[in-house]
Amino acid sequence: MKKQLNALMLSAALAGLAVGTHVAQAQPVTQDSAKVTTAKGAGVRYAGYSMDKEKHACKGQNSCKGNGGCKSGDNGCAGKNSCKGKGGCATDGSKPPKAA
Amino acid sequence: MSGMSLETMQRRMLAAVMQPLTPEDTMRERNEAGERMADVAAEFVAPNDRLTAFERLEIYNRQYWFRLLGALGEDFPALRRVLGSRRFDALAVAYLKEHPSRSFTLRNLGRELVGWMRKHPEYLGRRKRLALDVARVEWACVEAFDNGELAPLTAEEIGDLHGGSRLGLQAHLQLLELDFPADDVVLELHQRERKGASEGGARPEMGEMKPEALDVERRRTWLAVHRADGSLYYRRITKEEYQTLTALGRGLGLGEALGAGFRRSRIGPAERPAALQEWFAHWAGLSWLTKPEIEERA
Repeated sequence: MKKQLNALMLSAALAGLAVGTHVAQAQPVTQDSAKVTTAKGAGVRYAGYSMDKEKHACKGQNSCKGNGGCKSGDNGCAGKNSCKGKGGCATDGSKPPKAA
Repeated sequence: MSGMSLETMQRRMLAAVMQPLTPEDTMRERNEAGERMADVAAEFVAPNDRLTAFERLEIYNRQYWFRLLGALGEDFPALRRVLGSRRFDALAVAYLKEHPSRSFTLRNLGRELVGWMRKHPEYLGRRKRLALDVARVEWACVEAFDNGELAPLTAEEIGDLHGGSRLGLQAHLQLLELDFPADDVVLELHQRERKGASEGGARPEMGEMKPEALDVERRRTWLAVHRADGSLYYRRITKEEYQTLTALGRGLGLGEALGAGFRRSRIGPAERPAALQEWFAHWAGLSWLTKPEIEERA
């Protein structure tokens, strides 16, 4: 009985995955991307941060904030810590510049 | 100044600059070792016709703290409003004394704050758990906004999945189990922050601010903070969704993670398949599920 339930649950999860992936890959019908359209249908709420709306001390200099995987340390705002918010997350395996 | 090596001079300068300010935001007369700062400054700073060595060094000391406190306040505006500016500043100084910036980017300044707050409830005012939850949501926003984006599962990869398969979680997805509906609180306080900024025509963060009056009751809340096309979103999730996703994130196989997801659940066995189908469809639609990193590296 338990095995049967587990198999049912697994099938259901995989079926959901397949449907969700199909929707995510579908062409958007509005100006929003498929992901944003899906998000709106999944009970999500805008948290008030957008790349294009984000204000920052280094106005306009934090262009890679939100892009993720960005490399920091370009000193674009000379002395104003331009790299704040740029992540430095180095998801591509690169290393941040050597610093203290 | 003569005879001091460059390294010694840099260390003396760094220690002086990082020394906390007085309550009046000026440089202290003496450092922690009891040395007169006027004498310390004279070791490596020359006076000019307008400023003494002490005053010149004080400029750097003040700017260091103003910049750090500003950066932390920028990442935790709702926490600042929950605590009030005076308590927040005391918390920030105490935190930064223990966790000064050690990264090449101030983006990482608040990385240890939540853990530090857990160890120092004396800085959190009356609503300690709420303050902690608010800080967790705000830090999750920083992570969700900045983290990378992994490729979601493809239809072909889904076709190969079985009960023992492991899935990875999207890099920007942040999962939180909270004591309060702190996402509501953060949304509300960020709105007030923006309203204050637009009415004042400038950033409001420097003025003194009393703790906000908040009508929020304790209620266990499970929250996902994630990014879609450069914007951040909150999504309330169920306890079971949270448990399943965190189990997947811990590296459990799909079958095991489904079992872990319904631990102490009120959802009956008959309803579980339908719930799972809906959840997985949402998660896949939001690109929350990826190949596990360990397999990508292999």
